[in-house]
Amino acid sequence: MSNVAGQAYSLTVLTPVLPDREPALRASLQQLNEGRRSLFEQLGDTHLVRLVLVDQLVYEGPPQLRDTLTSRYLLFTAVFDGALEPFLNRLCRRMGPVIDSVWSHCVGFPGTRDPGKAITYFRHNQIDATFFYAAYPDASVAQVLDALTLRERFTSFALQAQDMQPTARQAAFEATFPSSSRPR
Amino acid sequence: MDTGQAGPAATATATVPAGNLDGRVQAITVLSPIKPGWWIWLRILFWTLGHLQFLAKPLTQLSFIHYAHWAVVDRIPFNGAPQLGARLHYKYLLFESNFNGSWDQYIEAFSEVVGQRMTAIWGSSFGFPGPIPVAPFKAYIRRNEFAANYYWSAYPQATTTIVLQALELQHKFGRFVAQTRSMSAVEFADAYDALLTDVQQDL
Repeated sequence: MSNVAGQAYSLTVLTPVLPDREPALRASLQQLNEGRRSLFEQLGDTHLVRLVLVDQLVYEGPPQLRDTLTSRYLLFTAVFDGALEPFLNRLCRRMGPVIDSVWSHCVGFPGTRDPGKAITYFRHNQIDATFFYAAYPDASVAQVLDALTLRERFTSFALQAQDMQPTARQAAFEATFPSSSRPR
Repeated sequence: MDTGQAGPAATATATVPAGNLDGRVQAITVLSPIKPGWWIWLRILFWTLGHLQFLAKPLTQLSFIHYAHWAVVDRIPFNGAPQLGARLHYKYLLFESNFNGSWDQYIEAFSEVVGQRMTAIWGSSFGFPGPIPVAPFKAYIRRNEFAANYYWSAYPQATTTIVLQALELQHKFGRFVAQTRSMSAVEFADAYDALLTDVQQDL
C-alpha cells in the first residue's frame, strides 16, 4: 500500500470547512500552536503532524482552465507507527477535546464522543498516498527517541572516559549504562 | 502569465512561515493542477519508484528529508450539505515533505541532484518551468505552496542525518554490549577502542 513505508504510515485527510467557520478554525489552530509540545506527544507513536488550510487552488494561466473551490478545506497529515485503525482510535480517544476543537468546524464531523463514527469520518475523507518515502522506515518514534538519547549520553561518556585506565573505564561504562537500560 | 490566485506561501517573505517550522524540521506543502491525462503517467511513475528501489535511491542521497509523499488527488470527498460538490477540471498533485535546512537549499537540491525526476513528476502539472534554471523553479513552487497552520515533530531538534547516525550507533552499541558482557578490563578496553573507531562518524 502506498500509504506505508516499513512500519510507518502516512495519513492524509481532506475535510471541507463549514461556511463562515474559517476564522474560528484559524483561531483553533492557533490555539494548538500555543499548547503545541504536549499535544501529539501523548500518542507516543506519531512522528510528524501538519494542518493546512487550503483556501483556493492555484491558477497557472492558459491553457489551464480555472478551478474554483466552493469550500475551504482542512488538510491533515500525520506520519505514525503501525496501522491506521489503531492510530485513529488513539487519536479520537486520547485527544478527543483537541480533535473536536478543530474538526467541529468541518462539514459532517460527528464528534469524538462516539470514536467509531469519528474514525469512519476520517477514513471517508482520506486521500491515499501515491508514493511515500521514509528515510528510516523501520524505526518507531520510541526507537528514534531512545537512539537520540543514547547518542547524547555515549558522546558525553566518550569524552569523559578518554583518559581513564581500563578498569576505571569499564566500571564507569557499567555505571553509566547499567544492564537494565541497555538496548537489547 | 496570469498566475491568478496563489497559495498563501507565495506571499511569504524570504523567511520560513512560522507554521512550517518546528525546531530544525520544516514542512513544505505543494498542490499543483495535473494536465489532462497525465495522472496516468504519474501513477505508473510512482508505482515504478515504489517497486524498483534503485530508481528512488537518489532521494536517500538528499539526506535531509525525514519523510515525503506524493498523492494524486482525483476526488474531493463529499460529506453532504452544506458542502457543495467540487466540480474540478483537473486532478491535483499533492506533495508534502519534512526536511532540514533552508527552503532555498531544499529546492536547489531538487533542481541539481534529482532534476530529471522533478521533471518527470512536475512536468505533469501546468506551469512547471523545469528544474533548471532554479529561480523559475523556486517561483513555481512558491506559487503552488501552502503554509501550514500547525506543524509538529516528535524530535524537532534532530536532523535526518542525526537520526540515522543515532540509529546506527544504537545498533552497534547493542552489539558491543552483548559481545563485552564477560570481558576483562583489558579485553573491554580493546573492544571499546574498536567501537569508538567504528562509530566516530555517528557521534
